[in-house]
Amino acid sequence: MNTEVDAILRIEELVVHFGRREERIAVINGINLNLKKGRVLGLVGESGCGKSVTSLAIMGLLSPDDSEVEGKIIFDGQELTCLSQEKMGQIRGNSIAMVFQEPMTSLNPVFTIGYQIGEVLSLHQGITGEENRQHCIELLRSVNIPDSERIYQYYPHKLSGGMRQRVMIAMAMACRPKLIIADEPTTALDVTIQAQILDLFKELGEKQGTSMIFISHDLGVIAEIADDVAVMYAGHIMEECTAVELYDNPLHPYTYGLMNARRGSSDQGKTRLYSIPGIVPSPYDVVPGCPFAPRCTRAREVCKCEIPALREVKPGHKVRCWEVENHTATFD
Amino acid sequence: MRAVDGVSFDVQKGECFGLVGESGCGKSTTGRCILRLIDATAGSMKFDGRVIFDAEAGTSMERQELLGLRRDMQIIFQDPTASLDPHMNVRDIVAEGIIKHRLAEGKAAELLALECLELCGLSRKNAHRYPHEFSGGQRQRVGIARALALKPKFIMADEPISALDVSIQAQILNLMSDLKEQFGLTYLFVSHDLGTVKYFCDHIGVMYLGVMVESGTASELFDSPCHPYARALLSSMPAEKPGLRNKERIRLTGDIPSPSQPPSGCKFHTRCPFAVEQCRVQVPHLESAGGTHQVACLRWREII
Repeated sequence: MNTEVDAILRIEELVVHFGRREERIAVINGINLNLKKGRVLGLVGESGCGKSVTSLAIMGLLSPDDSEVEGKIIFDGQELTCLSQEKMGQIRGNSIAMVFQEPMTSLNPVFTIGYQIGEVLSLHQGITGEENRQHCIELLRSVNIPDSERIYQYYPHKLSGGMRQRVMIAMAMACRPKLIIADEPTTALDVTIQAQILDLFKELGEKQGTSMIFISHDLGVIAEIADDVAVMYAGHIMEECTAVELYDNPLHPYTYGLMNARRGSSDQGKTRLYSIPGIVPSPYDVVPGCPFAPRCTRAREVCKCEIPALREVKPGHKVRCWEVENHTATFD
Repeated sequence: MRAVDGVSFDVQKGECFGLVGESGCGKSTTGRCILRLIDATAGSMKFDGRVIFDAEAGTSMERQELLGLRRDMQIIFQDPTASLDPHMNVRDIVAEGIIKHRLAEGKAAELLALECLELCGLSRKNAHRYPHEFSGGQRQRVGIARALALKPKFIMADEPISALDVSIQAQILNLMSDLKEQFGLTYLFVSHDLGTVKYFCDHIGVMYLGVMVESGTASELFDSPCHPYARALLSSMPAEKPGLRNKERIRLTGDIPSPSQPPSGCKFHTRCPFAVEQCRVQVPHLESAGGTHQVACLRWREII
């Protein structure tokens, strides 16, 4: 398969540093990702693992004043990291759109819903006037907002969290982007609303063939929506494969731990939950070897000294672990 | 506005009772009424055989007696950062209640606090540190140690793990279940997360807009949910594996109505796929669906 052609987004050796000189910390430590057209890539990890920073780096939203981005981000054949702010502004919201976690804070409270969606259309596509209004109403309808002509005139505070997130999705879809980055888009929502929003993402993905990066800490949400999954920990990708493979056959001890710490999975009964010892590392705690070694039950000497490479241990299944061959079947 | 409207349930000694529902359903308010952090307008409550309040009879516990009762009934909050005083080190945070309730004084109180911290998996060495020096999971351990310090009989845990990272949540649940075993605690566990409630609780009550729509043991509820809302809630749980996607989902349309203008009749009728005219008029009451299983729906027998 020719990934060069298939890929809508390719990330090569992305490194992100925050801060200056002696306070400089590495937040992303050289990640490679390949998103094929029409696929949904799930990016999983806990707080501070770098999943949101990755998405901000793709969008060119990291301020050059206090962060440094190295590596290549190639979107649709175009290298993004060297683009001017102006050029990037034409891509952002147009061919790459983003949906954030907090629909409450991502909408401007002093403008109407219609104005805010219309702005995207007039800015990127030069659609104005009545055509703009019709287009907006159509977009609201496409994200299943009832009575969209009335909602068009509303201010954000009149809408519930789920409705606001629909508006955000309508706004993201406005220019029919090739790529949508959704950063924890359902985390702030109730379960029944979360299910509605996930259905909506699936439906839009199927209808328009939009490629997606879906960021979440919730393995349940990822199981619902992702085709491929990359598991991140401390700024590294620890495991990467298709979603089906990951849930059937998690190979990295961290992934395994996350899977088994889930509750309500099959009939666990009231036995003790599997739990990963220790705490989630902060980017300030840099360890020499594998970043997961301090919490890993199977860490050996080598794990503490040298970081393993992300290796393909089975076709399409990459794992960053020294011990993976020795423990293919059982964990303890 | 009625945030909680006529909720009745019993929590048996030594069990964990889960209250589950979406935001605004009144689950936290119910819990806080029990601790008398909010005064209920009507109804009654008994704890350990003693009447805490009874609005109909007009009786309410004396302040002094209530203070003693607070020792027996403790709370663990959702946000461990907001619920710990940033100006106090964690030993003092845990010792504060011990001193206030005169369980011990001075050095003895400090020692007791250290013991509680250790029971909750925090080393004595770190007891002089301040909340900001700990991670979220460790702060929640401090919150649990503080509740435990008074040797309570009952602990209400209000979304105790929702603010924590996934890998830490299991640690805290295991800790809570160990402490329950060790000290014979009774929990009221308030959560929006069905998976957690299913795993952790013996009995579960599902709330919607301030009313209890269904209750029963974990298996009664999860194996054969009767109320359309409970069924919709369970079917909204994300799939366990990608292969199990697209199971039959009961889709709810729209959002939860505002509790300040609740719908007439059955409060769920505006979103219920099975609602008929009668549901708009008649208020359903909890009725037995076998065993301890109770459901408040006019049509549950027909639609099951």
